[in-house]
Amino acid sequence: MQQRKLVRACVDPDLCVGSAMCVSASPGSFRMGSDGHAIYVADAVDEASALDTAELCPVSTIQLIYEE
Amino acid sequence: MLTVNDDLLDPEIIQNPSPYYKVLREQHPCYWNERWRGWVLTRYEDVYGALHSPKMLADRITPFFKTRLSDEERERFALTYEVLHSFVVFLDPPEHTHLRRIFSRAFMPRAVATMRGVVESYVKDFFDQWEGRSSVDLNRDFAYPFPANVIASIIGAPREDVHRFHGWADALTTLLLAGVGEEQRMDRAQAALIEFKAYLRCLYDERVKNPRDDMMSWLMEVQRNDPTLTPDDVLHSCILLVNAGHETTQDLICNTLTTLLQTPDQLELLRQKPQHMKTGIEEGLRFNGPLKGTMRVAGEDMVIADKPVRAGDRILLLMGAANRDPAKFDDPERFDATRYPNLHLSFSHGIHFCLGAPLARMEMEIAFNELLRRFPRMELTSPIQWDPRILGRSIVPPINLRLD
Repeated sequence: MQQRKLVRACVDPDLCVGSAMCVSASPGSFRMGSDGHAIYVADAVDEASALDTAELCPVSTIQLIYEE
Repeated sequence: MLTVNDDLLDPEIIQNPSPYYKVLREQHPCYWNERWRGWVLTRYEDVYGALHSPKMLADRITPFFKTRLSDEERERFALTYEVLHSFVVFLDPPEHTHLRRIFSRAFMPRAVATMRGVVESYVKDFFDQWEGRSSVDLNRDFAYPFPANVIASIIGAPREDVHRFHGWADALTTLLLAGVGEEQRMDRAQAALIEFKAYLRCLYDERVKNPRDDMMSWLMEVQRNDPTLTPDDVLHSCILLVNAGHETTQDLICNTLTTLLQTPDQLELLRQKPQHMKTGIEEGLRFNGPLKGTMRVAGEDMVIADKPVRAGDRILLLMGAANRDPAKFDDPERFDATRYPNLHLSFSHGIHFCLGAPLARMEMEIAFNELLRRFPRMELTSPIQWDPRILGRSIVPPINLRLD
């Protein structure tokens, strides 16, 4: 596994279909915005849970951003 | 203002729904259809909003069983109710959230990627059989058997059993997507469910002893770690999967290919530049997706486009109309294989967004690349007759193609 640190996740609002899978997988990290799209809201990042959640997205639109 | 035709199965509307959709969108965005006994939404914004609204309930099974059936019928069709009521597509949160999460693990993009090789080999097999023939029936010789074979592989059923899936799926589809003049459709659906469930039960018992790398085994794995998930949930989910992945994909193949054959410049574009295949398939979904509409039930009183919708009212969301709304799509009546972005609603949207979308997209891309490459002279030789359905959009077979 790479040494780089995961800093945050982000959801592309244009691709998000509002399935809310990320919210049910990691309720602390994602919530649904008023437009029906998911938003990443976590303070601390748990890499294992972020990877797991990204994998569940039906349109693969959760991007994990690593430290350069 | 013109009177609106309330017959959603009017032959003219079935053959070409666009002009009808336009009238509704422009003049009656929230329209009470007296004959269908429900509201009809056609604007992109309203359909999108309804798909995302927690006040719009997806459980239209319970109201149907409670209000439309006699006591005697309710008892007779108890099993049908039990199975349908456990389908994730008819559930609302919180039950929906739980089952959807479990189900999506078996359908996550990674799991779909592991199916790629299987899909490629099926596609090659089917089209090998087309070689040397001067004509084929697109439906019988590919679109009908292909998705069923893929689904059977995902579940873990042997290929020689696939023919049995067809009958079961047909019976259930007729019930859910509302065929007309089918008096016996509840009986047929229930008989199919009983057989199908017994068949899956055998497969399940076999997997308990010998787990494999298939969806039945994955679901059982999840079930072992989750006491709230019953063996019935696993079996019912497999029934839903066969049903959802069967006829929808079949129709998507037929609708998209026939549309392309009638738009030769777009077909040629995709043949010359297969890098546009992804957007071409999305355009196929937008233009003539397998589902024209889906149904919701109002969870409370609300106002839509100035109309008073009451709690318990049925609402028909016409994605087919939303997909051609000029407020959302430039030149919506034109098929443009390079259209991007293309935020069509054919896979639904929100929490019920199609779990099988990544699979359908992959099946389509592999099949169409192979089809266009191998049969460059293909021509449509039978007329397109659309099947009279309220929710589905499906061509009556045969769909004859000349290959040489």
